[in-house]
Amino acid sequence: MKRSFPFFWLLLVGGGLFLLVGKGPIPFPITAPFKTDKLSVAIFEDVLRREQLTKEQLTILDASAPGSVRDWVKSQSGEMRVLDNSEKPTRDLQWVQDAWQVAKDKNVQPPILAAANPTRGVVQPLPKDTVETLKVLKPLGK
Amino acid sequence: MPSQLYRGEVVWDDSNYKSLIGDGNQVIAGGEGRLLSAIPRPIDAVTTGYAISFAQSGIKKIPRHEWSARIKELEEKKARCSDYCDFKAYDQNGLPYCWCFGPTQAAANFRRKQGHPFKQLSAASVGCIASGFRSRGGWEGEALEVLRSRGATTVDKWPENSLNRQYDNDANRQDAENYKCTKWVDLGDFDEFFTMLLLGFPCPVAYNWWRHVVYLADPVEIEANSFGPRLRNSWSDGWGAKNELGFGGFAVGREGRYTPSSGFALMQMTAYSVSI
Repeated sequence: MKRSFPFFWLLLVGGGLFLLVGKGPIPFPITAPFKTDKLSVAIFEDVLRREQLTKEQLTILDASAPGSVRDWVKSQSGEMRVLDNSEKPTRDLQWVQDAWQVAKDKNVQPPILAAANPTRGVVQPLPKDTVETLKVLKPLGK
Repeated sequence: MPSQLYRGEVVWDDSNYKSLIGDGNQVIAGGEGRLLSAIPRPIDAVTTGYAISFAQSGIKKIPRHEWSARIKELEEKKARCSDYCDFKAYDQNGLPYCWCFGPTQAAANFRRKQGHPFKQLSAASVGCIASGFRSRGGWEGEALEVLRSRGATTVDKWPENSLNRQYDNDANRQDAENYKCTKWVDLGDFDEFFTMLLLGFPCPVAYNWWRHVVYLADPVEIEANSFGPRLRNSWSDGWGAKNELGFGGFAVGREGRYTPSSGFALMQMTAYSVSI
């Protein structure tokens, strides 16, 4: 405990300075799993196993009606992809390629949800339904 | 509950299909010339390796007792292929390349569903390569083989119905690399086609009696427990019904008459996009 005490104060003072220097709060360190300049959402699936997804998960992928994941992403001026996991999307935008690579490096099994804004994001298994997916995504919105 | 058809949408079946062949009622502007472009799939095509079969794919057929509920879900959530058709129906305009228009238009539709900005892919850019720049009929597997190996060029670089060899140049071949179909499944019976439609994959198909290739976009319940596909044709945006986004080319065919003679399900397009 004694050895960690100075470190605690250093962290506190340093953190305070970090937030207050300049004209306003300094942004938190970038923890987005991949680089992007807007809300970016990718779902990577195994298309040959699509029939093994639940109806609720299929809805996450394909629905465009009000209240759907795509509709919400669009309302945030974001971008969304639904792609097969088996090939690297080498001809797509850089964020899509990076999202695919992060998911692969993390060894997340499809179906995968990879989403980020310029500062934060997630790469994880696809949630069970639209409600759960939006719970994950909404903190990344405007 | 049966599907809500698009406004003015015709259900084609045994009772009325002959009007599409004889053209006696002038359904088709331009007449018979548009109808003679599909040839039946060669009997040995199964062994030429165009695609893996449904059985080999490991995909299981969705049981019929689930179809009605699944269709309702797709319609309510706007999760069908036709819900992503925000572009005009292709127009062969007399060119006997329906066997290219069906697969290429399906590819354009599927790209929208994957989340890509719309790109009008030139069916002629596919047909010319498959036919050696000849104006001839063919079957949909020929077009898919070109979509797999070469890809399609966009119409701003290769005009829609042009058979001019000048468009087969290095720049256009590079462009086509961005629009390849990289994964598809070869389908057999009606339940296989319907399963793939229920899962959201568009299906370029041939009807040998019609001598025509189109693509299937949606599964439809015509009446209680009577099913059929919604097709999108390539006879201009003025043919058929318009979807909820205002784009035409749609009609419904009943199982039986509109069980495809052959066809595929597109499952992956090259993930190519540009910033918008």
